[in-house]
Formats: sequence, structure tokens, C-alpha cells
Amino acid sequence: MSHPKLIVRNLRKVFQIDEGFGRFSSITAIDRINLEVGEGELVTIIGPSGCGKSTLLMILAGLYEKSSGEVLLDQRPINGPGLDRGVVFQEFALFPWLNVRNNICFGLKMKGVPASDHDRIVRQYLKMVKLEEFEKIYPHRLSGGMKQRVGIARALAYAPGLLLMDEPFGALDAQTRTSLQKMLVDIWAETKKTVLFVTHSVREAVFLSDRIIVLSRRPSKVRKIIEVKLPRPRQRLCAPFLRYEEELEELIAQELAEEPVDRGAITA
Amino acid sequence: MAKATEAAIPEVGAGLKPETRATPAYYLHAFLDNFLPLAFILILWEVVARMEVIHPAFFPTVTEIFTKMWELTLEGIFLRDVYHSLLRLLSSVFFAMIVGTLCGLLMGTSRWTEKILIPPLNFFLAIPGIAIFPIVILWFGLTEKAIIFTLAFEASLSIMLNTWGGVKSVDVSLINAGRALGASGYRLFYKILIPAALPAIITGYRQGFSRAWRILVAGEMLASIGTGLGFRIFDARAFLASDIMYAGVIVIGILGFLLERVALRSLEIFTVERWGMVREL
Repeated sequence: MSHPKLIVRNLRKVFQIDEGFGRFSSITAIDRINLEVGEGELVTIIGPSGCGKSTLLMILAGLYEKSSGEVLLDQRPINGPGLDRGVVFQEFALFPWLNVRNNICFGLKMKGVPASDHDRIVRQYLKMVKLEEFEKIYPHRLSGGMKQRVGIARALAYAPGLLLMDEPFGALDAQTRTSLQKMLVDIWAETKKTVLFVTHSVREAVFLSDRIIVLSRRPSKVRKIIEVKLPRPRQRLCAPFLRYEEELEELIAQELAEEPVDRGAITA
Repeated sequence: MAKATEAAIPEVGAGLKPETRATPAYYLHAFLDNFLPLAFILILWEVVARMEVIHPAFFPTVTEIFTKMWELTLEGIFLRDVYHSLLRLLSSVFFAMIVGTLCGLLMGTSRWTEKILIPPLNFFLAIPGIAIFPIVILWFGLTEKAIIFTLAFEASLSIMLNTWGGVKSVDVSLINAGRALGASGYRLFYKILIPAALPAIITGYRQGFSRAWRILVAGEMLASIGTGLGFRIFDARAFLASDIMYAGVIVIGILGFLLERVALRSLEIFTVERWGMVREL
């Protein structure tokens, strides 16, 4: 690969908080982040709670504005949301007024894909997430794991270059989480997408990633980048895997252990 | 240990009934559910009226009322009254739906629109609808226009308020998902905001209808407009024709009831309940 798919340079994000009565304060969520993601890589971002990893993802998705720095996708700057990226949310965010098929078609329609292709594409992705019989079902009848599978299909259907996932399995039970992690790796291998995945689960990071980007606590910088040199499919209960987990947990514990300055996770 | 295939069984949330189907049995049940409680009241009324606890001239029996209704219908007056009242209601609420929903949407999305419109909205909501009616009569005279204007104005207030609240409560992750999927501007509006706010918007329509309906009857009385159920009831007092009064009142109740149960409920069932945005009981 010649150029990295995604380049983030000197990214900084400061939130202005309106405390009412004319008082404002600012919270620096992201101090300076530099990272690169290569084409076809599956990269995870992990860090202590509240460090701004979701904020980072939202900025890359174009849903939040950055305060300064550069974000380049395929060498072009990102200025807002776009169909060159797909986003999967922790809360699923499926549209309740559309059935599964129409949720998945949403991006296709926005992109202007001809209607004659919709059926084929929808079926293709439903097959990938193993929900073929659920085309006409409305989201409220689905379990959490199924909803997220639809969310993944919806984000992939219009063939974005980059898939951004914000703790997508955080709201699911352990079993579903494990099975979806495996499904994600399969889908990634099949579609060869570039995936950027935010999580706070060390185990998930080691299982999924080619590389793990560890963030420091807020205001965040990149603390360390770990290459996971384990063969796939990854076996969780073996020494090398656990060593990676251990290293990550140590890093995160260090970040958490330092004296807090002004805490509270950022939500915006 | 192999995990049971998750995809095999559609998991219905705890306690959800299977989807209702519009079969003849369903309609029969719907009719009985709505009609039987009312029938019971009518029977009770008949019994009390025949006991003549109140002078029969002022408390006619159900049979007398319905007989009178039938006579008036045959004379054509009655149907004309119903027609005119409904026409006024539907045309004004239709207009209010458009204006109210649009303004509510704007208020819910544009900070400036919200700042400008909230104070007058709250101010006018505090005034009983019928109170502005005399002023409107000064502008438009004792005409249909006066009635329709007042109704449309009042209904749009309710609709605006509910739509505004609904839009502001839309889950931000839905808006983010819409934006991430390429929706912006108009498309974000009608593909995401309106459907997401629909439960609140329908509540607004419901309130708009009932507000307008109540003002309508009073308005017809005040405007001496010549036709309409409100007018008919008011007019009947000149003849002490209590049976006409009761008939008029009953019909007003029935019509309002039908509007709610048939029109609005159907809208609700086919949209927000089907989508699971409002719980079926």
C-alpha cells in the first residue's frame, strides 16, 4: 500500500461548556493525536474511560468538529459526514420507522444507487450478517445483537472506504459480543474493508486488531501503538494472547492511576 | 459448547403481542370495545328518563331523542348541520396541520425561530380559544371565515407545541446516524426528523382536533351562522326543544369520538405502533 487510508495529524479537540449565567469553561478532550491507518487494516483504539476515544471517532465520522489539526481520508480532508465512511453506533441507532431492508437501503438511496440494485445488495449484506429471513421485520422486534448486525449491514451496504465503529458491542451480553466479534472478523476478511474500532475491552482489542492504538487519559495523546502479531483465527486462552492483554491492561492502569486533575467523562 | 443459532428465532421483546391483523374479527372486536360501554350508558339513561326524575320536557328518553334525530335527518336539516360542522372542522384542522407542523419543525431545529416564536406561542396557548372569537368576528364579520380562522389558529398552536417538543426530543443518535448515512438539509428533515418525532406530532394533531372541535361548537353558537350542530343546539332553546338539544350534543360527542377512534387511532396504529415507537397495550 502506498498511502495510508487515514491520516490524523495533530488533532486537537476542545469542548466549550456553557455553565449558564454567562460562564464558560473548556475541556480539552483530545490534546494531540497522530495516527495512521493503512488500507485494509483493522485497527482498534483503546484507552481509559473518558479519554476521548468516542470523541475521536465522531470527529473522524464528521459528526463532531475538530478544534485543530488535520484529518485526511484517501489524502483528502474530512469536513463533515459523508458516504465515504460507514458508522456503527453503540446504541445501534436503527430507524424504528423503517424495516430492516429499508434501514439498509438508506445509505444506498442517499448515494443514488439505482433502485434495481437495492434488492441484490440488501440480500448480499443480510447474508453476510446472517439475517436473511428478517428483511421485512421492524427493528423493535429484534434483539440487541440482531440490531447491531443490521447496523453493520447498513453501514457497509453503500461500500464506504472506511468503517468506523464506536464500541459497537458495548451494549450486548458477553455471548453475543463474542459471536459478533467473530462475525466482524469474518466480514472484514471477506470485504477487506479498513476498520477503525473503538473499545474499552482489552480482550476485544487483542482479538480483533492488527494494531492497537492506546490513548492516554484526557487530554489524550497516543500513548503507545501495539502491533498484534498473532495468527488468525485468534485463540483467546493461550499465552501470547494473554500477554498482549496483560500489556494493555498495565498501560491503561498506569493511565488511570495518575492523580486526577479535573475528571468526569466528556459527553457532548 | 455450540451456541444456539441466534438467527433462527425472531426474538420478540418480553410481553409483546404478535402483530394485530386487520381481519373481520378484529373490526368486530374494535366495534364492540367502543360501542358496548356507550350502549350501557344509553340504557341507563333510558331507565332514568322513564322514571321521570327530572321533568320529561327537559330530560327526554333515548328513544325520543333518536326519533327526533331521525325526523330532522329526514328533513335534511340535520345532515346539513353535520356536514357544515365537519367541513369547518376538517378544513381548519387541515390547514393547521400544515402550518403547525412546519412551524413546530422549524422551532425544533432553528434556535432563532425558537427564540422568536416561543413567547407568543405560550401567550396564545394560555388564552381560551373562544376568547379570541369576538375579535375575529370584528375582523371578518359573522362569517364562515371567522370560524375557520379561529379554529385553524387555535389548532395550530397545539400542533406547534407538540411538534416542537417532539423534534427536540428526537434521540440524537438517530440524527447522527442519518447524517452519517448521507442525509442533510431537507432530507434530514423529512427522512429522519419527521418520522422520529411522529408520536409527538400525532399527539399534537389529536389535541388540535379536540381544541378546534370544542371551539367550533361554541363558535357556531356565537356566530349565529345558520347551520352547524352548535348552532342547532343553541337555536333549539328558543323552542325549549330539549330533544333537539340532546340530539345535537350526542351527535357532537359521537362525531368527536369517531374522529379520535377511527381517524387518529388508525393513523397511530399504522404508523407509530407498528414501528414500536409507541407501546401497544
